[in-house]
Amino acid sequence: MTGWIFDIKHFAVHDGEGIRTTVFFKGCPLRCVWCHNPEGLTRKKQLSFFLVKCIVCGTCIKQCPVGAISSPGQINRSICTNCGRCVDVCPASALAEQGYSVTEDELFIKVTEEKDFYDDGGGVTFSGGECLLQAEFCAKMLKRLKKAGINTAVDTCGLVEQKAFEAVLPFTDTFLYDLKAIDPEVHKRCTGADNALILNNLTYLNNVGANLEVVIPLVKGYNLDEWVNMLVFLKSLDRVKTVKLLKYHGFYFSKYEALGWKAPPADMSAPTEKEFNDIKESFTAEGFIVKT
Amino acid sequence: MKPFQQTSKLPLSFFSVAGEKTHDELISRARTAGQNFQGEKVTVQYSALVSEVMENCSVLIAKGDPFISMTDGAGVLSEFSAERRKKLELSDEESDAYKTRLRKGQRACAFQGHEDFGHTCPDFERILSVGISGIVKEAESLLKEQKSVEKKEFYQSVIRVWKSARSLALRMAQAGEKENDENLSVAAENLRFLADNPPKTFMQALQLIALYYELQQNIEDTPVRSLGKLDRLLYPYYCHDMEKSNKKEEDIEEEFSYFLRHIDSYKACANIPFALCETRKALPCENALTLILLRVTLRCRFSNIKIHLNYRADISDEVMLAAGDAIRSGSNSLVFINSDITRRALEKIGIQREDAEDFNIVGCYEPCSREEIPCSCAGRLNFLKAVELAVNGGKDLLTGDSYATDTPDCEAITSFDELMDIVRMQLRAFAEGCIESAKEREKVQIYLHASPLLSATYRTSFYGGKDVYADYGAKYNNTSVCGMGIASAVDSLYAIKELIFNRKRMSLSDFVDILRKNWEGEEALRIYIKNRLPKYGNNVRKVDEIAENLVEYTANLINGKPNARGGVFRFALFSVDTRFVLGERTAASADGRLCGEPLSKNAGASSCADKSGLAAHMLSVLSYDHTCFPDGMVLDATLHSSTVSGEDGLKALNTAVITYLKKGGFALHINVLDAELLRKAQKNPELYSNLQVRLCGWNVLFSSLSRRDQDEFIAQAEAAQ
Repeated sequence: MTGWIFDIKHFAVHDGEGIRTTVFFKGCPLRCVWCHNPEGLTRKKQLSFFLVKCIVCGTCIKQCPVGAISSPGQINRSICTNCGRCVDVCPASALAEQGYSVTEDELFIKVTEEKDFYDDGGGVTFSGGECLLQAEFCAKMLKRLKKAGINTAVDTCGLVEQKAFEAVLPFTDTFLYDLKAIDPEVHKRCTGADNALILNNLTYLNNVGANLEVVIPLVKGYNLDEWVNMLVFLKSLDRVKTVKLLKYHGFYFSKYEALGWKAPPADMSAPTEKEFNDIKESFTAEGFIVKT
Repeated sequence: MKPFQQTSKLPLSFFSVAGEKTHDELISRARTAGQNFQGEKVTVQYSALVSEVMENCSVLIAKGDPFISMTDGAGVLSEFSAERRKKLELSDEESDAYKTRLRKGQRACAFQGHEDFGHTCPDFERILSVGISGIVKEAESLLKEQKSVEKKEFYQSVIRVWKSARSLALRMAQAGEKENDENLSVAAENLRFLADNPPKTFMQALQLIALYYELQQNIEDTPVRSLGKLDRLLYPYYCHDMEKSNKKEEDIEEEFSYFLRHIDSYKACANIPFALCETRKALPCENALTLILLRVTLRCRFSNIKIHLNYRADISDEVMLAAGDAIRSGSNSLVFINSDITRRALEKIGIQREDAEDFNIVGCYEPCSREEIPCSCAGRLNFLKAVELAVNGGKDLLTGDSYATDTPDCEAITSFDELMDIVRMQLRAFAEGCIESAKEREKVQIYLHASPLLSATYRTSFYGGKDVYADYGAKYNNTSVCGMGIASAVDSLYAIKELIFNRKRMSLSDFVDILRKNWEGEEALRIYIKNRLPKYGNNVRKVDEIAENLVEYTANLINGKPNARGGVFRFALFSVDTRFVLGERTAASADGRLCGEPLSKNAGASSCADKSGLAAHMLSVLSYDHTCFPDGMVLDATLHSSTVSGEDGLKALNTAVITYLKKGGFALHINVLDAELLRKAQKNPELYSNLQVRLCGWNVLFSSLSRRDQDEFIAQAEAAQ
């Protein structure tokens, strides 16, 4: 069995406890307007071009079998077949293929390379995209990792069938569960999807006693006012002790440019320091451990 | 004493008092004193010179400073030594042989070397326990027992300089008394006491350390490269003050802050290091002073002070977290040293366990066991040049000079294994040349330098009646050879293996032509190699095994080979600043490096080649046995402060450090970056292509961000300062 991923990040120190290796699975059911990993949204393989790295050598133009590259960075994506030849020859790594398959053995070797550094709570995190769209593969891998004594975490947006959670639950030490809004209309505006299933799955995990850390992005202009609703909802879940508040930032636009996509809307911004601290204090006052 | 305040961190302004002679007069008098003893043994000459300077130098003091130790005596002895060296080198046949061999090695840029009368850590424990007068009394007593002229001369020399040290302490006291300054009065009172007694209080112990530093480092011109384990050295005096004087920890912190400011004022070359934490297994790792001294030093952030933090498995979380927290706040002054690995490395070259485990790091990363004179940097060996000569028929690509003979032409090399054999042949020739030239140098060393001050602190030397330099009087007299540019060499060899022997993209001779032309017209190939081929520092086994092979092979060529002083050679893996000099004279290399660019730094990856995170970098460096380096080694890793921010970041940093050391890492230094560095990275992205920043919940490469994103990040980093 193979998994479909777009990146493996070593020495990840903010994707759960300790030092971790994070695997980014490709494909996501949400379309969050602020998505910071646009290369993880679709299941299909994509080509990224990073202008800042290009040395304008023209090698890619010569190698393209369908003439999709007219000049460095000018890619006709409607005829590009994602064959990857331009990526293979690009000397500067300005071109990159987003998406590749890995076997269980390949991935296991890769994520256990730094096993010695997983002491003190570290381990492996499955993220994305949405890793649980490939729940069967994830479950097999997580089981294998647990058997090898490695701590596991699943970073999920929650919009998958409950059976996906059931499949991974026995082998997952921590769920990093993303929560964007409680109000369905706000949620739909932010992510393009309804949140009923997301909230149901979070409640399910709580009820079965999963170890949960809820991750809340705070984006002014979109979901900032939702924090009170989220606080009230989370208070009703007795297993949720820790929340992680992420302040919006705009350091991801270059990824959209690289994919040839239009930039996300410009009406998003970060909460002010005061707004952020007030929210943090409110969660703390209600007994949550707040990470930032 | 006035309280130490933030403003007290401003540089001290020293002025000269109590001196009767100008500096030129001092040099002239010293020269005359030296002439009066011409024909005498160097120990006698040195003691006369040192004594002359101590008796006549001016004392330098600064208002508000509760320590007095500086003089204008620095430079007098070094001038004398230089003259002496010149004479010897011109007249001595052995010295000529040395020069011939060394020049040949240097011309081929295979290795460099010079003599070293520094890199010492005096036995401060002994100095503090017996004091100046105690050493004089002991020497006088031993002098009476001696029959041999040489030993008599030794003790007379010791007595001469240590008596002069007493006079100087009293002159310093007078200088302090003359000023109407509360703090200088403290120094004066302590110096008067120390002239005739060993220290009793914390301040007196610090004053004696500062005074001795000046005497040996500046007046005698025998560099002191560690103040020793200060928590251990100062603990009895701390206990005394806490019990007898009712002092509080804040008082101790204040006194130590003043000491650091005073020592920092020396602005010594390559900083003034001291160590914290016990290295001897039978004793507790820490005491009550450890954390106090660590916190004060990290809080004060004096630029000229550095700490060697000795790691043991039983070190406390508090110490490790305090160190980690300071590092991530940008403090670059702290290096972690692995006590167990260091001890084992020293034992491998024949140092007895009880001496090996009581080491101090002297200078950069070189351990010095108890009773050892290590003579650092006697040889510096260029790994990358060995590759250059191996692929070019034994000839330097820039000059055509050769070093090793019988090197086949590159057309004759048909496999990577054959190439590795030839690289090893070059390294063997380099190592032998390095060792032989150092030995030739050592034969004349006994005529060049003596240290009656240092010799009185080493028990073997003092009770044996022998100078540590002029008579090789220390228990261990070892010599160091340092390997440089390991990552540059490994990355070059892997590139050749992959492109020439695996993919057969071109012939080796065609590739060597490209290197000869410094990649002219082949920029795309150069960038391809730099960006696309695996590099050392990323935990890629097929690359790291080349490093393992070269490093352990070379270490076996060096370690334990006898030197000319009754000791052995010891191997190191760090690059000092020689990587720039060697780089300037090393042709373009197969790793994509341009002609003249520096070699890789220390034991770490080539510049910006470590793109897989800190753990992968560490695992690459751990691919070989660090007990191969009795002369030390270090991994220098670079992180951005955002990578280690928050509680998660601090915890991860500590886990990484501890894991590296537990897995056998010798020494570790971590740089955390600031806004200024980010600006440089923006201007020259190719130099900082491995720089990571934390965006929100994760890190990305700074170079992959758009200009606008980079600007925003710089603005945030500035705001955070």
